[in-house]
Amino acid sequence: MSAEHEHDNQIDEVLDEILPDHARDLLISRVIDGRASTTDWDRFRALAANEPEVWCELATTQQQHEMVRDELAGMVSVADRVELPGGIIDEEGTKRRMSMASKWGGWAIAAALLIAWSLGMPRANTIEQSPLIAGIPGIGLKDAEPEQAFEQYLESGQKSGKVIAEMPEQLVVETKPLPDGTIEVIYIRQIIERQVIDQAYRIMQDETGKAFPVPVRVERNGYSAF
Amino acid sequence: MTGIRAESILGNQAGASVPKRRMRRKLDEQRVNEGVVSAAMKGDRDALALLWDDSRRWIGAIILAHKSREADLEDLLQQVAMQLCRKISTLEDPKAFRGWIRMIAINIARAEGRKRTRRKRSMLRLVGLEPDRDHTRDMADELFVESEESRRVFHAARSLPAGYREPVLLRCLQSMSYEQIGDAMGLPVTTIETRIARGRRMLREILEQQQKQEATRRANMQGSAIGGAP
Repeated sequence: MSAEHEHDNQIDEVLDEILPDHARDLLISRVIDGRASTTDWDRFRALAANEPEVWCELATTQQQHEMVRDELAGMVSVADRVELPGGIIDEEGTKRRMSMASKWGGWAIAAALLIAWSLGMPRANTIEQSPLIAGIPGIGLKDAEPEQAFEQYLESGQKSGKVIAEMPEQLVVETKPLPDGTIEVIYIRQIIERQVIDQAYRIMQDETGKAFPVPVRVERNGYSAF
Repeated sequence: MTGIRAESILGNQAGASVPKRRMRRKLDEQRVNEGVVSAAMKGDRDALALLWDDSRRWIGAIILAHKSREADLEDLLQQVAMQLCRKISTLEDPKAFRGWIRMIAINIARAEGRKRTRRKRSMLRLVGLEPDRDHTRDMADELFVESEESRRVFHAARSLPAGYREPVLLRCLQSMSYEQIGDAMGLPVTTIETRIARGRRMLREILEQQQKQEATRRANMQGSAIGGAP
């Protein structure tokens, strides 16, 4: 028996002792769920003859049951849009994810631009110049598997203070079946990086739509979102 | 690209009349039995689709019963669907399907809850605002309270103790019988009946208490407004 069940059974036992009118709750519940037998109805009528407020309890409980039912039905209706992976999950959901991904991508591009403007574009051959990465001696980045290279990046980045962490969740953008029966999953890995810059810029657009940087003043006792 | 849909083995339902749809539902209920589960376990994708079609709403209710945010429901259901596809072949007994998929749903809901807490803490730490205690969830829950009556009742139902909350919510899905709820939760029907009856009574009492508190609060506000007038 699980700890959860054991705990609930303990509550049941306590309630058995402190709720002498359990039969009344059962009768109300059976009537609401259409499970009341003829005997149950006879008992309910006999109870109501002595305690008319039981009708009020029945009406209130019935109304609350219907309210919860309607709310729940609305909420779980999203389940109808969730199909098994093996096909596209659902068009709307995927569109939303793609849009989320593109927004995220847009943000990332903006951030990259911002840093690039303030520091200058990184040299394309930076990685080529340092093939040996701290932490895994002897494995050059050229020879590493993608996962190894990624781990090296995280480890080295954390040592230098550039990488703070990888976010634990990965954002699934799309799943699709492949001819061999496997499933292709496209997802985003999120990494938090840190960069110290001399000057922050906001990327604006001129009247022709061309991007240009505008210096942003960052208050010492606060921070402003880009 | 198209998803695996139960319609693929039940025919195209486009334009089907309401009685026909009801008939189809009845047919589905008859077809979703141990045979369907066994076929799904052996890799029959149509059976798996039928099983998912039949289960996804009540799985959604279980995820909500374990206090997941409504906004996360679709994503969490997709994770359950993924696990169902990946692990159905590891199920040993078709009779255990409901309990098995319920545990998958609960684990996914709980993992998401833990992730959310970690995320909040780490983001707050990044901006140097990590509090001593994580009040964020409580604050968000309070802000979420809406004036609409049915919304309030639903949130009260979600505040019931776990062992009562789940059967009360599952019973609100009309397709779930006491027997099926017992099957999913691994409890006898008599216990389910007791839990539902008591859960409903608790709900009634919670709402009565809320109404009393609200009345007191309003009376106090009125009193202070009168007292504060020159």
